[in-house]
Amino acid sequence: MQNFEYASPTTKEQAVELLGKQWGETEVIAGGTDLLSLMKDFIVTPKRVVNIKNIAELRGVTINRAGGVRIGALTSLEEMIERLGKGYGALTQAAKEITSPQIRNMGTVGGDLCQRPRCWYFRAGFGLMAKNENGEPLVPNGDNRYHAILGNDGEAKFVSASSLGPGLIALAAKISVFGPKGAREIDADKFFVAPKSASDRETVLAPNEIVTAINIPSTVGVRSATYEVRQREALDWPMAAASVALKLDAAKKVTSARIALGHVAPTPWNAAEAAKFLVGKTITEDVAAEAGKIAVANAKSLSRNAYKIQLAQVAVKRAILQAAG
Amino acid sequence: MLERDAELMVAGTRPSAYAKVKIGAKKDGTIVAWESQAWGSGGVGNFSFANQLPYVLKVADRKEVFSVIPTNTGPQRAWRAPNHPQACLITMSAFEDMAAKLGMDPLDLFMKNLPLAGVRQNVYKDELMKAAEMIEWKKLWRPRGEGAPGSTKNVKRGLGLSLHTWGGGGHASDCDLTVHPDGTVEIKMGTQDLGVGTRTVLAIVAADTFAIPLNQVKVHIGDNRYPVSGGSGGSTTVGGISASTRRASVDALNMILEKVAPTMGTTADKLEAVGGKIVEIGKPTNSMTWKQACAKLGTQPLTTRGKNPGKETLTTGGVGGVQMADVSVDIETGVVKMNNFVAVQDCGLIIDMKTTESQVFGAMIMGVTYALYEERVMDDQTGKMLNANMEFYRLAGLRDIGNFKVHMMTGKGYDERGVIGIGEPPTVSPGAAISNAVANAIGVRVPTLPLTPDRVLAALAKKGGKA
Repeated sequence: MQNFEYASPTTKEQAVELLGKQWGETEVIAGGTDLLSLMKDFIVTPKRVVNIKNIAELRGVTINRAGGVRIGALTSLEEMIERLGKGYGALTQAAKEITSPQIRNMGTVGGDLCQRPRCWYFRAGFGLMAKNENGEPLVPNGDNRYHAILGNDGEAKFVSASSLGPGLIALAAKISVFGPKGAREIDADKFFVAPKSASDRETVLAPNEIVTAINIPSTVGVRSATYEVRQREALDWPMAAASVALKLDAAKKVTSARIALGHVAPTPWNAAEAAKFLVGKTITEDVAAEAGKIAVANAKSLSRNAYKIQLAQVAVKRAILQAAG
Repeated sequence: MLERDAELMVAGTRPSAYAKVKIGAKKDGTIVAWESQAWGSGGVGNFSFANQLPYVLKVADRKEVFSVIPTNTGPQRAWRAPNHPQACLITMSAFEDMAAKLGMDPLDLFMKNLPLAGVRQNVYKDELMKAAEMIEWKKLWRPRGEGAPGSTKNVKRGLGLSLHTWGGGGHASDCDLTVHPDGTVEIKMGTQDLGVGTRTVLAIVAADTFAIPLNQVKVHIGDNRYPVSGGSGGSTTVGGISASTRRASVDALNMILEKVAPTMGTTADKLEAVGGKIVEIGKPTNSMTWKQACAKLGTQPLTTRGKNPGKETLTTGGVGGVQMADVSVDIETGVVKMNNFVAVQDCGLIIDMKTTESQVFGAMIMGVTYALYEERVMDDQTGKMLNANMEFYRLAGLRDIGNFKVHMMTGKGYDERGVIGIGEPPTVSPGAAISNAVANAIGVRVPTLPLTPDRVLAALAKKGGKA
């Protein structure tokens, strides 16, 4: 690990002040479950690490009377699961699938959104866009079995590692962010971006902005679920995941739907067409399967990951059936 | 000590093996011909796979070709039971495929072909019957692709079996055993405990010989100053160390019996050690406690040098084992889950049942791992290993392994063979048994290990997408 300066501010204003204007100069540490391994492997080499754990106002879960909820960015995944209980299935199911308990206890909600991709070329030091020394991309002709099947037209072929991202999109959450110009709120859907260059990041955050909280609108009447296709039961990343939020009328017809996929694109993937298809329908296995097909209609496999199209499709189908209960 | 990434990149891996196999059988399932064209890579070096195919079941009329393909990757290393798991998978899957082709229950086909296993055919027969009973084979097995009971539209259950062999005779081993005048016993041996129970076994052998409690035996190992005993490899440790300890213990006991015999008014050949005492055989009232007997040593402790007297004495080699797997396969996602996994194994005379069974359990866990998850991923473009880490070099966890059952063959025909190693034999069959179970469940062979979702789905797609 490269030596670094360590700062431990107690207010968000101080934190923002301590952060650099360029990516790479400084890094934010909260749970540290991702940052430390990135630093040990010299994938990031910040000059300064800003610990935000002492900023009290970033903590805590507040559930308001209308059923909306504010989750402080420093809330641990485990605390979020405990506090939310039932009613936020898309989020809590995804968080529970983050194994092990150690990671759920140390890892934070904000950190889940800001963690870096698990692309094995990136983690092996070939940069975010995975290029060799001649600048040639490695993923298209390499081992891309875990790479993107959607949104992979650009240089970014990795998949977003965020477990909560799809659930937040399904629940129409907003992300609160704080920077030098003050606070702003971003739709979860707009928070994640596919970077255009290796020096960019995977979110709309500026280098000197931090996530302060997540705001979920009332989930009264919303049925939601997340389904992850994973090989191992524990300590494994999903190969594909889907989060679904549905509202049904008295006749069990869908009145509104939101669907987002995880681990299939450089960002959590909003499957708006598939969601639209569900509106006005009664959920059956065939309807759910059709929505799954629509969700991956525009998927394009790389040389080795065609199977992920099938997995994503099944994840959507199963998440819908689970949400509809 | 290497860190995980270095361990995976430079310490060496199990060589790969692939094969095209043609086998011929009579309508009744008797296998009559074998032809295999096999190839594999041990990385930068050469490696030998010769004479391994067909594995255990040596079909008389056969032709085998094997090509070694050197690659610019890390070296091969003797993983547990070198070459056996590969040869086992290739052979047992070919036999199972033949059974499916003939519409036979593979249990019947394997039974029918046991004469090909030569000297151990009766061991395998007993083991196949025992394993079948433990996994409820006759109740649960269904023809390939039909799905065992409990199958649903998307999740298919299947059963598979495999059998294996290994040597495991004891290596050369010396030890010094000292009986102190206070009755305590010390063993000094230049061996090591890889976590497999070497200390336990040494203490048990001495304590049993002297008929004294285990806590009166002190074991010292892991030091070059002690008498030389072999390295731990090839499952040769337990046979070697138990033989030299037994020899030293018997010699020491005989010397003590000589010492006490005059006091007891008899001769040494009429004395034995039982329940913490030296007793006249057939006349238990004439006895002396172990402590009293050792006090006769005076001030001088008694030390004997034990040597493994060699093969066909206290240790022999050659074991047989059978494993049966019960799996469920999600045919929409290609994810394979273990339900039950049964291992029936012989390893001659068992010194301690619990440590023996633990060895088998450990082998089964790592067996599930290489059958379903474990794989080195090399990047063709950069020559770099892409998964030298804990996250994509997957190992099975507790929630992945299902239920294990182990049965050790003991009693007549087994105990008198002496002590034989157990580390490697049970690591051989898991890949084959699990692969056969998956083929049975989904109706098509997934031709490569590990049985990952992409490979399972590809096999299903080739077959037309349905199990």
